[in-house]
Amino acid sequence: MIKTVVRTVSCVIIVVCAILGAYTVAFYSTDNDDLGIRMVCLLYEYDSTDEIAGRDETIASLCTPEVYNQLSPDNSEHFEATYGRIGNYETQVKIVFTRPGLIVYALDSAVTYPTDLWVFEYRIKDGLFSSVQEYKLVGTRTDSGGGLF
Amino acid sequence: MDKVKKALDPITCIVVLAAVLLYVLLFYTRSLQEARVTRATEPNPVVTAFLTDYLASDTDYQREAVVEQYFLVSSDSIDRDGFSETFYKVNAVFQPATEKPESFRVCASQRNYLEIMPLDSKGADLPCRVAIFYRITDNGKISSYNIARLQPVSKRDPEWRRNWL
Repeated sequence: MIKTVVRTVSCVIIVVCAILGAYTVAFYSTDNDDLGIRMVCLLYEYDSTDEIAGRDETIASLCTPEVYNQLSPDNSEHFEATYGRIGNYETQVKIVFTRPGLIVYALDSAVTYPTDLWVFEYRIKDGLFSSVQEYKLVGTRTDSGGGLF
Repeated sequence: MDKVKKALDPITCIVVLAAVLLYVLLFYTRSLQEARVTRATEPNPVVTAFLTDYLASDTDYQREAVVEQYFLVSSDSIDRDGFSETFYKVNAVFQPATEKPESFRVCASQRNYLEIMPLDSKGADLPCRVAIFYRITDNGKISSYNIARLQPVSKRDPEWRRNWL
């Protein structure tokens, strides 16, 4: 009886760990930059700012509470600094350069210069964005091909 | 006691051990993958050497000489005063009217990317940070590059500076 219980519990643990392990590898084994790209697109690619509220839960699920408070549309200071540059216009994110923890992108909308460059730096811990820093690249623009060089 | 002994037969022990090992491996794998996502690389020595020499230069002619030493500079890009387009671009980032950086510290480093904080003569930060994107030729010259200041999006960020609007 004990042997059966021990073996059953162990087998359940093995199966659960195998599934979680496969999920973890799949989650992180896509391009290193996919997580950051996904977040940048969630934040800044939309047809109108009305869509942002609908993504609130998804964004919150990907961030620690501190980062979510920083990026949340309810953060008026962040909203003005980021969405204020785009406005309520259809916006597309153009990824220009990526490295682990770093996304350089441009915004294509009616009110932005598509050659302006923005930086999204991030760290991930326990599967959540634990640190995010956002910058504008001042003093440079994309090259004629939309790239960095 | 006999029941416990019977429960711990070799097969059961192996199964339990496998469960424990997989459990440990799961968390190890996760930490490895997370580290890989945000892994930094060593700063490129060509770029750091350029920055060191450039910031140590006292005159524009010295800075131009440093630029030509480390960058692939086309002679077509040199103007009548003897300064290259690269010199002007780098100068615009590092030589604002108000602050003259004399050294730097590395903030982040990835392949083809270096992020630094310029420092004054006393070692104090001179925000905003500088982002340098580069490609290096096989013979150690910077062939392609982009350089800019990183102005925080948030005005409340302590590194936000009005002069880098």
